[in-house]
Amino acid sequence: MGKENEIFGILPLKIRSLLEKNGTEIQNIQEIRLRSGLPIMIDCMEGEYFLTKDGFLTKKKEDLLKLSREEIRQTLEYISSYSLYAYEKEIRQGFLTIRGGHRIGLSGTAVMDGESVRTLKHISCLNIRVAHQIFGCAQKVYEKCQRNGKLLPTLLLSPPGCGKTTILRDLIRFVSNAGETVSVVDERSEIAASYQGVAQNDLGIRTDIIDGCKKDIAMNMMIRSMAPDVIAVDEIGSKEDVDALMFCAFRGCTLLATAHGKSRDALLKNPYMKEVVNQKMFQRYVLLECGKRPGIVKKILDENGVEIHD
Amino acid sequence: MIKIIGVLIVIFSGICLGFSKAAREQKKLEQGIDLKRMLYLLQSEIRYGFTPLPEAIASIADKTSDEWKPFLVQVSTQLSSRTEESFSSVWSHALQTHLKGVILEPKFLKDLYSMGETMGYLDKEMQEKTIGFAIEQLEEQIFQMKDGVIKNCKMYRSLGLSFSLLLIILLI
Repeated sequence: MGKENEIFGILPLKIRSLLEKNGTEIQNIQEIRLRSGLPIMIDCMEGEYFLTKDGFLTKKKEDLLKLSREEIRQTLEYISSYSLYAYEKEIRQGFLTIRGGHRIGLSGTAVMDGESVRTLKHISCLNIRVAHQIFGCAQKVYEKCQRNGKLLPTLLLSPPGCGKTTILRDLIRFVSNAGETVSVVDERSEIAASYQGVAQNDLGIRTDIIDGCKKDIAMNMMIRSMAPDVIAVDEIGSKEDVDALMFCAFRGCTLLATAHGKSRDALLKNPYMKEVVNQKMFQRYVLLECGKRPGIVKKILDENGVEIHD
Repeated sequence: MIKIIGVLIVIFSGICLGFSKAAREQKKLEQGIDLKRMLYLLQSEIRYGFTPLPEAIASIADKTSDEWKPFLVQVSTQLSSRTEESFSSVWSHALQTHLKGVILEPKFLKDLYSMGETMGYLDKEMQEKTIGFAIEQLEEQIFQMKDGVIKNCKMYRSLGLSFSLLLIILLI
């Protein structure tokens, strides 16, 4: 299944046919935002566009196609393969991942059950984030984050939408193909984009993947069952994640992870991540910045916060 | 000689007609039980595997009788292609195409139609209840049919013979 089919296939029939008619390229699209009663916004590398009634992309706010409530419902039907019940857990979290590793953010009215969210109803806004596989984008990062062909514990840091997962995916591929066994903990199926247990993205020849499982549980499982050299995980930050990282580190496993944050110092504001930084669990901090393409490396720091130059 | 052959032919035809009507009655009951089994499989896929409907339906297509296979395959394929607006339209369209002439008891077909209207909607509990309700309906129909089918089978078999004999008496 091509990327066009994966993304366009979940859009309402009317919009799907308009985009297909105009030959809109998915390579350039980073996000599609659908909001009930509002124009459709498409974020490309070149900037933000709106969809016109004729199906053309424009930067002007005239003659725009607005999405109806019914079309949002239709999109949800397609996203969930007409089976919203199968994604209860994901809906509670506010996002779900579809085939190809593309993430769909959801917002609507939360139905609370005590302190926790039971479900979302009246879902009216969707954010489709297109996953990109860019081969070779982590080449320079890998060169600076390895010693004698062995990866050093590395943390990729950036605000949302700057390409952490894209770099992580490519880095996993480099490490795996270079000879180390990698276990990927893919809670949201974004890294490997597994479909019915088979990875849709290329993560290298020595990579084992567990997806759909909570990170801390999955990390423990992989350490015990797959004996990895490197354990890769996306978006760490909670206490459970940090405990599981410690468990992995104490068993001699190299950590490769991503986290939200603008800088190494910003991590110190998170009490759990502060411990990670202070204990020098990572020897490389790769800071990414948002730009025209995903995964632009701003700088790479060592465990003491000193920048590593070429 | 010709008369004797004619009489035998009439008797044989009458018996065959009676038996075929009885077999049809029996088939109705078997179809009900088979449909119930199919729905149980679907319920298990949802209950234990949280499997989305296209996958769940494709998976049960391999485990059910060949009679339902084309129907299930069409539903699964069409759901995967995401070209219909709702699950109910895919379901009812496939029922119309593949099962309308196959299911002998119209009430079974009606139960399947109404099940399709609420499937895919809301949470897992709702799916299970919808399928559970359809199973209950089928069970009730089967229960009501059971005694009737046994009686009807006997009746059709004996009627076949009796009518053929009556016809012979009238003709001779």
